[in-house]
Amino acid sequence: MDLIHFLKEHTPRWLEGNGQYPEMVVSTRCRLARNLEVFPFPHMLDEKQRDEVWETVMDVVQGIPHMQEPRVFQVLELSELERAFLVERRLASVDLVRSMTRGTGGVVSSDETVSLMINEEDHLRLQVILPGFQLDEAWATLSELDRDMGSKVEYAYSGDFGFLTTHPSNLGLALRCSVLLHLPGIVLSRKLEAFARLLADRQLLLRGFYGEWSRALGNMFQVSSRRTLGVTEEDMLDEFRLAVIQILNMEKEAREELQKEHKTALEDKIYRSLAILKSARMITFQEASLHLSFLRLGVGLGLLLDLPVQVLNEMLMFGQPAHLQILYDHSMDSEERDVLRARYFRTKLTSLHLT
Amino acid sequence: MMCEVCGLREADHLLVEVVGVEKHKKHVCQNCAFRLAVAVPEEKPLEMVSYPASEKREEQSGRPPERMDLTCPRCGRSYIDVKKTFLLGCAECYYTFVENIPRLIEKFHGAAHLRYRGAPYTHDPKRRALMEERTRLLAALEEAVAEEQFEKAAKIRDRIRQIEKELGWTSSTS
Repeated sequence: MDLIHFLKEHTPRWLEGNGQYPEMVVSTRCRLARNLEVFPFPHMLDEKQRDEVWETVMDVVQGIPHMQEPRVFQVLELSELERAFLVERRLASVDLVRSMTRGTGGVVSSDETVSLMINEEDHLRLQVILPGFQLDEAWATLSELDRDMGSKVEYAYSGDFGFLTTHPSNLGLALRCSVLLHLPGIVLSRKLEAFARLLADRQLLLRGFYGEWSRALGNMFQVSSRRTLGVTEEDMLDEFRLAVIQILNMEKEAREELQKEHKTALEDKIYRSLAILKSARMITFQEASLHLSFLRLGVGLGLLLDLPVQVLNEMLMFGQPAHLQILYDHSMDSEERDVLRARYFRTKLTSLHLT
Repeated sequence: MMCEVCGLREADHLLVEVVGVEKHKKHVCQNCAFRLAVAVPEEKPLEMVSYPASEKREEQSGRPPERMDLTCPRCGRSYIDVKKTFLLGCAECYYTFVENIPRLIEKFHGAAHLRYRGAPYTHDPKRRALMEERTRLLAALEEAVAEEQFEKAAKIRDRIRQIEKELGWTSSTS
């Protein structure tokens, strides 16, 4: 499919490794749930109505400034591998790609910053992802997109409850913000309980990163906001920002302690990881993600200055099973994946001439 | 419900494992949730969602009883279905089940009194006025039927249909 071919050849803007704290905050994401007033919610629709929702959204997307050169996919037209690829890429949710019905799919802007899901749990899920910690920027883009779409088509809304969503948990602002965090300091210094308490106090959710790297794979954690009713957009964003900064401070402190007490041991681990990724002939994604985390930590500690965060992000993205198979253009068993993954990492790292 | 992993503590987290395009769900306690989320990773992705605190405490007094007999006139969804799945059927469901909505808000947002405080949204004031008129007429219709004023009820119903047509609503009941 055209879209998949396009995505394979490009690095999404949110993996470019810039923005604030790009080594600790991989990306910032904001998303809104919206429904169209004139249709019942997606799970109540027959095929004809799902098509009508699809057509309505396609009309609306035309001429939206944040949706230049939109690329479109329908779940029914994708192979299972392509569906897994879009989930890894964070352009589709598992629920979206499992819904094998007409009118289900998405729209993606050419740099992948802005995307929509159509006929998932709600008619529309609008998403903006940016690299690093860029909460205000992500929200500014998302609210402009929302304003443009909401003036062309009427959303389901009530003065009391706000934006009306299929599931009551999203009711209200129907906005969720999340950051993908790299927290090796907290993990290595065994501060996870304090981290868990902080999340609970701040009413935050902890999620894994879709694709194969959740379950804190590679010391990556996705933290997202929960409050959406009884709070203004600004207050909600402020609360979330403060909570993230608190987590980042906790991580910085943990790293300083580690550096003070175990400096050589830490450097040893970082350079061993570099050696393994430069030499391994077979590597699982799980093992690779751990070594990539040490390299990322090395960048954060100022050791591997010639290693761009973007390259680490690309290795984490394209090292995932579906990405690897799309990259090499054929389906593979896990053994072959491990071989090609190791080759991909070697090629990437040897071209950099790291010392 | 008890934790499906240790069986010792009350489950207050939902763990979702993502394998390819499949999801496996497990209800677990906070201890196990965190242990699994950060333990030596298996090659399985996972998503951890803790329930809002209020979901654990049930019910207090001094509030109107839950209306279980309601069905949305626009999409045909019954409140019993909503209770089972926590999925509403259409925008109108929020008006139809309005007496019960604070219970859902309490369950998912922590307190029944919470209301929208974000920026107001208006797509088209004319449409908004039509929808508000329709909501008023639905109440009047119920009243007229209760008082057995059937002629009046029929007139109200005609006006409601007319408004729905003007709004361009597609409905699974029409």
